[in-house]
Amino acid sequence: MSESDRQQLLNLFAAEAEENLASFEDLLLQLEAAPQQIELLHDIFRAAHTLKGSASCLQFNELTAFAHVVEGTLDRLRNREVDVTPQRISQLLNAVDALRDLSARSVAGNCMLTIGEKELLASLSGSAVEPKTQTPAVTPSNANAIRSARSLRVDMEKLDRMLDLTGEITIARGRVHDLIAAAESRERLVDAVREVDRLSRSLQELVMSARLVPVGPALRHFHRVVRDLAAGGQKRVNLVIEGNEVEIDATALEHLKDPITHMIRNAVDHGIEKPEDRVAHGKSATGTITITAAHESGAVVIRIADDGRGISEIEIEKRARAAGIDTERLSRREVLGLIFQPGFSTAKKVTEVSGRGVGMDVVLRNVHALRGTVSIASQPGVGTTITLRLPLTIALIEGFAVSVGEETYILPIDSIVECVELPADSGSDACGVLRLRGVPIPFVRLRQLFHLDTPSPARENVIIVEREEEEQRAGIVVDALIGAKQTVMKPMSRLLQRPIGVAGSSILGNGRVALILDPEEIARLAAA
Amino acid sequence: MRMNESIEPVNQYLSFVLAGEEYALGLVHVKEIIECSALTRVPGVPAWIRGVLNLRGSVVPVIDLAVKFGLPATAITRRTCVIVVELTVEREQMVMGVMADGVDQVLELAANDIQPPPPFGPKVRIDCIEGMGDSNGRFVVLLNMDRILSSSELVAASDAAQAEATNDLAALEEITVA
Repeated sequence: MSESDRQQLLNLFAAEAEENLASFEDLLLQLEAAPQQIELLHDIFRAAHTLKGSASCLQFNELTAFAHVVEGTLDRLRNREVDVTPQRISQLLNAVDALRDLSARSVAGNCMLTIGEKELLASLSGSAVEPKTQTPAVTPSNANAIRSARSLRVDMEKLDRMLDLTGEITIARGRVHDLIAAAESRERLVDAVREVDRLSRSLQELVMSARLVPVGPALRHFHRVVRDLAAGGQKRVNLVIEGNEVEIDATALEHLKDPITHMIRNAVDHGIEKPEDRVAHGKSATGTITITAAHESGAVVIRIADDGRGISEIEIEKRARAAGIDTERLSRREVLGLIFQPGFSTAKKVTEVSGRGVGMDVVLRNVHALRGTVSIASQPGVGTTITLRLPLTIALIEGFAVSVGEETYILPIDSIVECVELPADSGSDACGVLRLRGVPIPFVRLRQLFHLDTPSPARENVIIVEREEEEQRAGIVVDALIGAKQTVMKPMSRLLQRPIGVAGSSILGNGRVALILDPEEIARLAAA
Repeated sequence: MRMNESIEPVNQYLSFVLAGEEYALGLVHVKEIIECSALTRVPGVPAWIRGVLNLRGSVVPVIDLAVKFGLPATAITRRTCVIVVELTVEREQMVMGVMADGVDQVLELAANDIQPPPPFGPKVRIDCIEGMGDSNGRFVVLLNMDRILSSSELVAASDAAQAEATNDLAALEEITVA
């Protein structure tokens, strides 16, 4: 077998093992909720058996042996020799973690068992005896050990349609060449080029849609996270997931995993109260966290709601003052925004997983990077709801091109309210105020803001954008308006970090790079 | 060449001219050399990042080492070129362009062709120099690209991290708490 063949097999094994173990884990959690459902055990057994089979094909002997012991335990459960207890489920979940780890290590060529794994193996084989100490895994240790190597499963039908379209594009391009060679009439040439355009746009849309994946499988993993966190914090939490079938860009979903994990941790650790406290407040002993995915007016919305104690503004302020922040000088929004600052936490006590002041800043950073927004609604004693709103496609935006001197910039078209000529009496300072139908609107000149040294033209245009916060309008002054076009957003180099006012970059028809602006940030500078 | 290697390892360097001086960087980093055309300026980045250009569909930042060394910015002429390099910064691959007034030649230098950097003289910070190479009797400053970038990147990162915290707050739509 050649090296590349073996590598392909290993990749396939890694992907399958991850899928298998994910369903193993999921089924275990279902079994915990419904111990009498013997069919679940059959499915779990099948998942373990499949893993054992593929491991032995690749001669991963340690992994095969481990899976075999797990099978033995499952068999005893199936035959009612031992009972399904939360301890047993924990033990098996630990086994899932170990199998995950071991699979990843086997693929990497290191299949030695760790001491912890040997102990686990011993306790599994002597499964009739209760393990003496039972420590529930608080952190889902290596849930991401097998990274799905940035690959994606695509519906065969979609691929076929892509292939058809590329074929049609080739034919249409051939026709354009023929027409040019034969010096045919202009109209027929224009028609042929239009056809190429139409086809390439369909292809682009199809490729974009191939990047969409349902959120369900990724969210399922949070059942385990919630279970382990709840066990660690002596809480009772029920996780409800709604909207499994909602599709979202695969990359966006990847970037959302960390933020959702942090929000879930916050909800379990700080939101949901201890069972006795909940009962004392007239709530049910078990708290509920709901993750909802939905499409709402051209955006994907992910909502995480808990019915816990909620966030109190007084608590945030107290905490801020304790940290030496002068809250008198801050607006209410800024005070509340503090919970997103690194190193800031309202948690009364620091637990293993949260309350160390990391987390919410990650939520904000990742969501902002995806051009999304975050909103929080909370009521003390009732609960907290955090809503993430993200654009449907992250790579394609409807843009509006403008120019300043020799530079071209692109603004997302949905942020633009209108474009007008800047009144002649608007001075020449970087910032100013113009009156539009009697309403004063602050504006900023892009030339000065970006320190461009080209001379200003006699007539300038101003683009009026709506600021999401405070519902104010602001103007961005440019030289000329070029027009609307669909734009493919390219990531910026890490070297550039994220310059203020710039959301990304794109390549123009002439091969030059154009920056995509963040109107919200620029407008904020105008108003400042 | 091969035989040489077993006795004495030879490293290859690409030498280029910048602000009248000859510098060289490890050929292993070099991906290609392109004409310096149509740079797009990026606002709010350090002055040594001159802009970005389109390299077959990817957006690549272009840095001006002259500015980095405290010299006047490199003027873009017909002969100005961009050396596209790939560096590993904090275990991540990063592609970027390095501006040069002109590319000279590939030097093959053995360890004893390289002398330690003098304590004074070159305009470059001493820790960014790998050594002084001898190219036909002339001295060439051998740059340590990883070093140059890690020091400068850290500066950029700390500046940007501060800006970012306020930047990110823009994503915050609304908070309502009782």
